[in-house]
Amino acid sequence: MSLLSIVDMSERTDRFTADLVQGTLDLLVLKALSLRPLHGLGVSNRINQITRGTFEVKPGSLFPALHRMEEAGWLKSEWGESENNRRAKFYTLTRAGRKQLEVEINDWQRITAAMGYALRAT
Amino acid sequence: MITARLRSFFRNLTRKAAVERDLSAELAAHLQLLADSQVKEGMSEADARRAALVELGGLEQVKEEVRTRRAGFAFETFLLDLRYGLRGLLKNPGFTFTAVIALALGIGANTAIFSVINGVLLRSLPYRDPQNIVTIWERFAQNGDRLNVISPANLLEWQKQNHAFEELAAVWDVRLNFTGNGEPVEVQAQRVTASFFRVLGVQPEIGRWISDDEDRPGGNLVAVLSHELWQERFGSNTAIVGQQTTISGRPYTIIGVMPPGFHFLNDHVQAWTPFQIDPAQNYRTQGHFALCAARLRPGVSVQQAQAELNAIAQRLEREYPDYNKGWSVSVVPIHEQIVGEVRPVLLVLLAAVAFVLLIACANVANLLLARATARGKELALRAALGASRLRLVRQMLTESVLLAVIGGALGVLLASWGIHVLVALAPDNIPRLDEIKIDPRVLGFTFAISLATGIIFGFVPGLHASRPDLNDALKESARGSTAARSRMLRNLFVVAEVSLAVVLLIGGGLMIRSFFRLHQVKTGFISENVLTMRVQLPAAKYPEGPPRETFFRRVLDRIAALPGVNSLGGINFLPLTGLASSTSFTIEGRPTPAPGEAPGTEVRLIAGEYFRTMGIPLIKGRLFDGHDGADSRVLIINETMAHRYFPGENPIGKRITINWDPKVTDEIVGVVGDIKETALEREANPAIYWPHARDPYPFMTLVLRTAMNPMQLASAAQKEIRALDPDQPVTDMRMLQEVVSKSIARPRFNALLLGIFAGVALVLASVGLYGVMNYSATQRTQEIGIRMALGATRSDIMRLVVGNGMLLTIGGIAVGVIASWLLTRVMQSLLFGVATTDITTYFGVSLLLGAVATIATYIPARKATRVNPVIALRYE
Repeated sequence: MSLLSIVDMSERTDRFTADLVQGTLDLLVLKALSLRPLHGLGVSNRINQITRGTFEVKPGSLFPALHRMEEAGWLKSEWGESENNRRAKFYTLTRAGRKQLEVEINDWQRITAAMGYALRAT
Repeated sequence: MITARLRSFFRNLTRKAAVERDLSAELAAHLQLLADSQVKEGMSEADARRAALVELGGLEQVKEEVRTRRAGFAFETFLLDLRYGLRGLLKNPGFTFTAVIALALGIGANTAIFSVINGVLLRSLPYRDPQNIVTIWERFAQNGDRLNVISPANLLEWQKQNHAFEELAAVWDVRLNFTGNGEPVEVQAQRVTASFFRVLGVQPEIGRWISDDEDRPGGNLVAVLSHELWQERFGSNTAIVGQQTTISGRPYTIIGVMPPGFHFLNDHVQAWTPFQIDPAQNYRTQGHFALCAARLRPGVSVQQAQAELNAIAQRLEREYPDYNKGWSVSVVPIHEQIVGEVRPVLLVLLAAVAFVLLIACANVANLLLARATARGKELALRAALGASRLRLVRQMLTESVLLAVIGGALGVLLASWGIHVLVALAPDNIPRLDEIKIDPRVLGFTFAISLATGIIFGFVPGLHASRPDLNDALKESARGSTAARSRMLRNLFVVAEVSLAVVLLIGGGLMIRSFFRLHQVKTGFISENVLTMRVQLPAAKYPEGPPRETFFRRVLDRIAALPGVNSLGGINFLPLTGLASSTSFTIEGRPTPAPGEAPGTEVRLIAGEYFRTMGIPLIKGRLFDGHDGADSRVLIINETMAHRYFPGENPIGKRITINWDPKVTDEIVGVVGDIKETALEREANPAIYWPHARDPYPFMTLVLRTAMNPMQLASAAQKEIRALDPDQPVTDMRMLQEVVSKSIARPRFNALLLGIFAGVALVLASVGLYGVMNYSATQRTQEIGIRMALGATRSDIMRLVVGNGMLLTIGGIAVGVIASWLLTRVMQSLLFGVATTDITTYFGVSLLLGAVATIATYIPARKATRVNPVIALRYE
């Protein structure tokens, strides 16, 4: 599955054209959940917000990712009340999820640093 | 993480409905939240709902995406394919039955043969660290360098001089008479050094081993029993250990019982007693008669041990030229010693059953191809609906593997029955037969070949069916390129099947012809209506010399007087019972040969009318008569001896010294016909016959020629012997014909098995050919109808269909003959009197297959000519 189909670009003019590094969606979801538990829509909105509108995650990518990460033990879910008193399923980071987030942040930073060096080289 | 996924895997499988409900609820909630946010931005409720649905991008698609990501998705698809496949198989019982039977035959045969190979070749021997155990043999250049038993004199030297072995053990095959507890019986036994049990490293199941003290000359007489003898004769009584019993006339203390199935080189041995080698005794006056087992020191290789023994043997040749000149030593790992001889046969059989399985595969592949064509529309529809090629191949493979696994399960049942038959039919000189069983390794093998089989025969049809020409297939009737391609494939499979069957039939044919050649070999004696029985006197009761001679003379006199006995004789070693020896001799008046170069001969001791009873003709001179007793100085030689050592001379009256007693010279008084002494396939050796009285062996095999059914005489003869000595057992009571037939039991077994496999191959291949011809005739019904409508006669149609089939057959035979010519070479060592390129076999097999193929194509062809053109033209 190409990663472009997981993460949709926003309508902004400075949209990405290159494939995104594998695991980006996982990283974004973990990051989005690192502050507090969120339901699906909350995760999607939070990603939109923290990437300043660059990424907009569609449900067709979001839910498979949430379920997969829950099965991997990084998230756990429970039903709760939304801010406007609707029933919704909330996802929480588990301990394994936090550890995973650290690992992925680390990896990502190494990659971006390396890419930075590579591009600055003359 | 693994545990989390595993937990999810089981939850998804077992609580599917709950998981699905939860997903639906979650998505519904999501929609609601989306709609709420739109309403907040001022949209109407209805518009907001619609916008939310658009945003979601299709409820079912999202669900499907989630499902494909779930743990266990692949497994679930597999279960689905399995269920679908099973339903397909049940809907087509005819197809399923044929395919499963073919596969069960193939897999069953493979399982049975593999379980034999597993038991005989692969399982490690029931000794401690068997890889360190070797057998040691001597070899005599004059005797064709065959492995020879060893001399205790040399064993003592090896023991003193070697550094390669932890210990060496000597073993001497003997016979013991058990008297006392019940009927007297003679059992095969081994006299062993105390080191024997340490070398093999097997603990007794009760009691203890023979101790070093008991193994010294004059040590206590003790015996260790086999589990079987302990069961049969002593009723599994544990208290027997420590008690005394009479063995060969002397009191022995039973000290232990070995576990079931323990034996060393001879599966019939029932007891072990101390060897009691006396280092003070000069064994250089005796011959070679012992077996030798040894345990290598850790880290010492067989090659190193061999090199060291070579050096020792060379020293001994220099030191004792009279005794050791020309003798060398061979170290053979025990596994090689036990199974080395049967390995080629078993591998040939394995190759044969592998071929049978390949034929079965080709058969089933053809059936699947035909079915795939029939299912073309269904597959095309699935492809049109978006099933990927991978998905279709996977579906087809699941089905074929399912078929193969069902076939495999049935095959295991077939094999477990087949193994009983195999073991029952197998000659008892195949080692380790009692270790053959279906164990986890065999089951693993069967499962692996079932999977492999399913993939092999499912892959091509699967690949083929997975790319249907959509246009073509979806039309009402499909007769486009797909059909042509599948016909090509089917023809290819048939050619392969026929050629494999040809190889098997030629292999089997060669084996059978070889067996019949062997069967027709002249033994040199007349085996009909001769009863044989063996009597062994205990040395304690019948000391050397006259007592034995007297006993046997009285036995012969009494039995000769029985009504129905035409003639009667005795010999120390009956022909074809596997014993060969070589004793050197010198001919008077000829130069004395250098040490180790004296010619060798068999020496046999005979009594009564041995030659007349056996039907061995007198060529020249006379036979022994009543006057040729202990003091006579005469002997009889066989024709080979006369031709080899007295070419162009009359041997009668010539004088010979047998090196048993260099002081005595004998005169040749007669020449008798040659007989097969050791095996039917071996040429006769020179042989000398002495009257039994000259050197009364304590054992003799009696031969009785009778006019009536010889077995009727058996008990009467036994009664006469018991009348002389009630404690005297009589063994090996059987017909001489049986002795001959037993000597070729192994080639018979090989021929029988390969013959059966070749027969199965022939049936499978002709069924395959018939199936394909029948199918293609049906497929071509319309074409045939057109031809007939245009004026083709029935014989034209016949020629067309049969011609097609014959073309395939001839192609298959041609490939098979070439393959056989290349492959049957590996059978060389198993054949007697037949070349691996035997024209008769090749020609006969080609004819046979041609004939069977003609029938297999004739039946569908006849059906094709019966076609009514009017119906055929409408046939879709």
